[in-house]
Order: sequence, then C-alpha cells, then structure tokens
Amino acid sequence: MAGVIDTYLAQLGRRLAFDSALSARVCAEVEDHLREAAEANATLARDDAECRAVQHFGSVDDLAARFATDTLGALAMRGWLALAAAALATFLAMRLRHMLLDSSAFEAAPAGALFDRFGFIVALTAGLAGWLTVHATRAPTLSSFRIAGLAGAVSAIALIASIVGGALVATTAGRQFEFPTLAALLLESAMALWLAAHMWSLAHRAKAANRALKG
Amino acid sequence: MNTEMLKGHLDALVLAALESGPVHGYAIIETIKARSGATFNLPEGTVYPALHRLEKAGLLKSDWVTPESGRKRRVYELTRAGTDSLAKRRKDWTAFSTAVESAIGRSEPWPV
Repeated sequence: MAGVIDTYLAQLGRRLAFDSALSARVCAEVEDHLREAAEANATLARDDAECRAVQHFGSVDDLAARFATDTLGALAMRGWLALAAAALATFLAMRLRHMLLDSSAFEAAPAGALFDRFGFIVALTAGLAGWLTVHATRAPTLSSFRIAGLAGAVSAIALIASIVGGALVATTAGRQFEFPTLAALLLESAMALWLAAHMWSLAHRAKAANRALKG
Repeated sequence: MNTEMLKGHLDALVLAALESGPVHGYAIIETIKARSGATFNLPEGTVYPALHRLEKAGLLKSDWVTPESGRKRRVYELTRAGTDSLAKRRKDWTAFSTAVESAIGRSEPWPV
C-alpha cells in the first residue's frame, strides 16, 4: 500500500509532467527531503511521521505553480531568441533581395512585396511588445505570459508571411533559381520551418506548464 | 513572521545557508530555521524552486551524491559568482536595514 510520501510524490510528478527532466529531478530531491524529515520524527508511527513531513513541506499545488512560473519564463526567453534569430536571417535575406532585384520585380508582385516588407515590421513590433510584456516586470503574471504567447504567435506568423512574400517576389521576377536568391530563399524557408516547429514545441510545453500553474 | 515579508529575501537566505559548505535542501532549510531562531518558518518546499533558480543563474552548482542512507541526494554549493552575490546582498541589506531602523526604530514621533 502506497504511503503518504509515495502519494505526494506521485501527485507532484504528474503536476510537473510539463518538463520530464525537471519532474524526475525534483521528485528525487523531494523524496530524499521528505524521508529525512520523517526519519527525524522517529518517535511517531510511520504514517504520522510522513504526514507531518508532508505538512511542513507544503502543498503540491504551490510547489508545482512555482516551478511552472519559472518554466514559463524560460520558455518565453527561448521563444524570443528563436524569433530574434529568424528575424535576423529574414532581414539579411530581404537586404540581399533588394540588392539583387530591381524595383520592377517588386512592382510585378505587389502582394508579395507588401507581405515581405510589412510582415517583417509587424513581426518585429509584435515580438518586441511580447518581450516587454514579460520582461518589463520582475514578477510576470499568468496574464502577462498569455499576452506574450499571443504576441509571439503573431510575430512568428508575420515573419513567415514576410518570408513567403519574399519568395513570391523572387519567383515572379524569374530569379528564384539564381544562386544568391536561391540561397536566400532556402535559408528563409529552412528558418521558417525551424521557427514553426520550435514555436509549436514551446507552445505545447507552455500549455502544460500553464495547467500546472492553474492547478 | 509573515511569509510575504520573507519572499524577497529567500534567495539571500539560501545563499547564506550554503556559505559554510555544500549541503542538500533539507539541511539548508534546517540551517535557515536554526539561524533565524525559528522565526522563518516557511513551507520547506519553497527552497527547491529557489535552489533551481539560483543554479540556473550561475550562483550555485549541484551534483548527485549517494550517502550512507542509499538514497540519491542533490548537494548544492556556492559558485564564485554566488559568493560575490552574497557579499553584495549583505552590503545592500546592511544599508537598507540601517536606514529603516533609523526611520522607524525611534519610539518618539517624527519631528514635523
């Protein structure tokens, strides 16, 4: 029959499931702590000693929420770094395109040119707004993380739209297979795929951490 | 003592508890309780998010050891950056507490 500490650890492990490595490490540390605390009350019956140890330790909800908040902060930072890397690559590709293609190429594909330029501006603005939402305060709230997540999603979508716009311009100009343009398009496409996969993974983990935070 | 008052100082307390050498989480919380004369009686689990956060910030490092009990144990110790951070926090606290004591420590009302 599972003891009080075993039950506590099982609950904690489930609540920290948003990060399996963290969950394993924290559960091992907490088990050592609780068993040592229970052994310090050797005069009590085993169940009573374990109950007391768990009581003094604090609730699973509180502990999971604290770890979830820290995880959301770390995930937000990784998201911003990914967006910054993608934005830099896109900017360099845009500059290269403007150097290689003359204005007629952009006039021939107005929608592409629009997405290329304004998609990038929207991506930068949304990314900066989301970053400020989390980092402007020392203790961001769950609401801050939600807003930042939304801003991050807008930024990623706008950046991908910018990349697609640039590809449309180059294709319309018939220059998409020339080496520098092709290299820029391949880099942007790889960056867009990587960004989409990375943001999906981060969003999935943030959702799990959010569930741990809400209890 | 009100747990809210303690929140902003937990990191400093954890760093100070590690000053005398590497220890594990349970020993850290017992040290804090003992040194504070049991005034700081916070939920013991709160020390673990603080330990993880300080380690991510580079102020601590940790490793698994297996003591005689046979249970895996995570032992933490201060890094060089952690020692410097503790010294700075001590200095800041001395200045802060001196100023607060000077402002509210008097028994007579403030002069108008």
